[in-house]
Amino acid sequence: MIYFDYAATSFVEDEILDSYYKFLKENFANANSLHHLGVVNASYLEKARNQIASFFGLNSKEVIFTSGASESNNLSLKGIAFKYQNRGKTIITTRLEHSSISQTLEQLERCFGFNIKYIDVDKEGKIDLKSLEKMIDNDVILVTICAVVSETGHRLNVEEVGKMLKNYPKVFFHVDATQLIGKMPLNVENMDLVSFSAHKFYSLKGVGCLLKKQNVALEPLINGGEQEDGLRAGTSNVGAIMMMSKSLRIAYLKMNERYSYVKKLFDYLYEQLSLLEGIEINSSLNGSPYILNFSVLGYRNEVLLNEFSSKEIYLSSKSACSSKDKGLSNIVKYLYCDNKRALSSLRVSFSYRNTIEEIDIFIKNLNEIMKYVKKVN
Amino acid sequence: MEYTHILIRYGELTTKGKNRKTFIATLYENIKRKLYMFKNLEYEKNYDRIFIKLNGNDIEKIKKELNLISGLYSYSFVVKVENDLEKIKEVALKFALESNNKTFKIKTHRNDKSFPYVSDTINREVAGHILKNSNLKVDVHNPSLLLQIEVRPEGSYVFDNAFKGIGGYPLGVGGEALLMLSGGIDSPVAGFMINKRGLTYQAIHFASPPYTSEAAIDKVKDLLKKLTVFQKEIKLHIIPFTELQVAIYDNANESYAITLMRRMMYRIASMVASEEKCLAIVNGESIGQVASQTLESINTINEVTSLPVIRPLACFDKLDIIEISKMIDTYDISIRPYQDCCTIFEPKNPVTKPRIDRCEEYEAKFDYLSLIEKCVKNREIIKIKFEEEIDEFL
Repeated sequence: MIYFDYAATSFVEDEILDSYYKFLKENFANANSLHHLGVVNASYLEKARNQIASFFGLNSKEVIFTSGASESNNLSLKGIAFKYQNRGKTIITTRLEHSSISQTLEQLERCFGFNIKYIDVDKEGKIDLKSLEKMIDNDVILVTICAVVSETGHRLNVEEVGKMLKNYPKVFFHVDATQLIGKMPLNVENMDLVSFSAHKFYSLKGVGCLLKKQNVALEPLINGGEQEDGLRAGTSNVGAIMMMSKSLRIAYLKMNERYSYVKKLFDYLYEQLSLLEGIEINSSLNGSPYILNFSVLGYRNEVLLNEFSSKEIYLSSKSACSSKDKGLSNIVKYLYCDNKRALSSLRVSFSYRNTIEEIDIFIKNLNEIMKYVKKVN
Repeated sequence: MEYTHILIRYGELTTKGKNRKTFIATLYENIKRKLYMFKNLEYEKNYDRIFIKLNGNDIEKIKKELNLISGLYSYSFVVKVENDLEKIKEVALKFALESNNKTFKIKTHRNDKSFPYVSDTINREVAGHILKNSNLKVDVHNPSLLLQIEVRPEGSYVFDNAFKGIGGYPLGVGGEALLMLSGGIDSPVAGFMINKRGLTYQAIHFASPPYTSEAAIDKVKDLLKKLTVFQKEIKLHIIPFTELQVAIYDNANESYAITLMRRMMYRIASMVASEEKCLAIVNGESIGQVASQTLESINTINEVTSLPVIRPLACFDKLDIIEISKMIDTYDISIRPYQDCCTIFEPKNPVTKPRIDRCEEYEAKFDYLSLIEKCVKNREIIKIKFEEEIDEFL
């Protein structure tokens, strides 16, 4: 089996699984209970919060635990929208966002009368700051932009955007960093809200984080308890949160080593694909090496995926959260204005466990599949 | 301007003769501990300066931490260049061009006497370069941009800023005291204040289970943990206070309960202090804040001990105390809403002008001495340490 779908989710590291089992066996109490067991778990929760805060140079009050990046994104967008709607009702975003951003914004537009504006991104993932600045008027309350595009791995210049937005204190800045955290460093200095998920860096599913600067107030989505500073009710998932923190610590420890290894994989696959005819590469060389998106022109990506799957090679056509729709990738379409390219795009996403040999096997199979699978118009 | 280093000056400290070496070593360690959360800072200390290489860390955040380090006289964010006059001129011009100032002055300190130009020549050369290439004019009396250059053997430093630290003495050079720590806002601030004078402290906390909860003790531990960035290890004495407290309520008029309780606490603190060789008691009392802190109350309560009682916050307003507690990051923990032994059994009308003779009358009614001894004997001692070490589950 070859697994090339790490942008969708990753395995859980053995060290994490062992530690989780051991932790949960002993520490099952509700962190809000007043008895000894509860107090112990509450202190674990705060330790994890402190540790995660320290990775970003934040205060521990600026770390909010959620069920994952989709919830963090929803909480950020709706939380700001509901809280500050009397200041304005316009939100700026890009066409490259994950569905938990784009569909949340669509909901805000449809049900709550917000206006959504889109800022252009070029093929290298750069946003022109002057154009963005021109879009900002009195009605804008939020800008939300991903750090790394989930489908293509483009690295957007969110740090520069954040710096520019500092001149507009009325405008909050949210960054969806789900595909970046644990893989590359991020300076969150000029960002008000940052979302990420644990299962992208070899930890458990069902747990994530929202970094929220202290000057930002949010309207909660889930009411009913004082957990997470009243922002997210529900019994704290202490074990999974501990493991998220642990995984993140390991990820930071090994970040450089893993990054340069995966960069080699990326470069190798990039080179191999460039040798083939009828392949267009949709990722940028300056993006995240963890994601390589390319189109096999003339073929439907779904058909290719099925063929690869039957050979126990697992990859995807786009973000798993939106892959149930027709195979067309709106993101690829937006970047290259090419329907054909958008219908045939595939995403290979790596972890440090993939190898050059796996890429060789993949290329060999791709060659074969292209020979016997019919093209479509 | 992209600063590359922080330059730290010891100031007053440098005049302290033989202790100098210890002072500097202590200050150096304290700075490192205070800045531990900033990754990849590089440190270097020498005779009269500490240099920290920034490696891209956020200077505003670092500033906040540096402003809390006792014994630190002043510091500047600087750009380091090679000892080459052309390079120095180049950086100085960059400073001038990036600033919005109209006038400037150059002040050079040539520490490295092997550098071929004397300070005055450097001043003239650099100023000439800036005059030629910018619109800035020289003003030696009242410049809006004061550019300073320090030429040292390892390199030259150019900077346009200097910030004052809180001064005082580096921690650990002045002896030890015993801090009464309730868990409220004031006592951690009092601890910080005596740290600032170079004193270390142990802490004493009075617990009355089951009327006070484990969470209240956790709160005290968390507070101390925060304070370990100033003092890396703090010994905490937890006094089992329930029996004595109940005895007070059984034997005294309710309005005198708090006064008597405070007298007992002082007695216990004095005994622990003498066992632990602490030379003073410290607490967060502020004159007039509550009934037990009127001058009359303080007088009546203080009467039971012969140790000096230091009250660093005696003349502070509550709002000022809150501001410091936010600065040292204890405020959020302090406001956690748990009962402590001062707030349970709170009398409706505490006496504000208690009389010593009345206190003695009540105290004669029960054998408080043996209860106090029991408190001291059965105390739990915990060492709270500064830790970067990682929990097995993290």
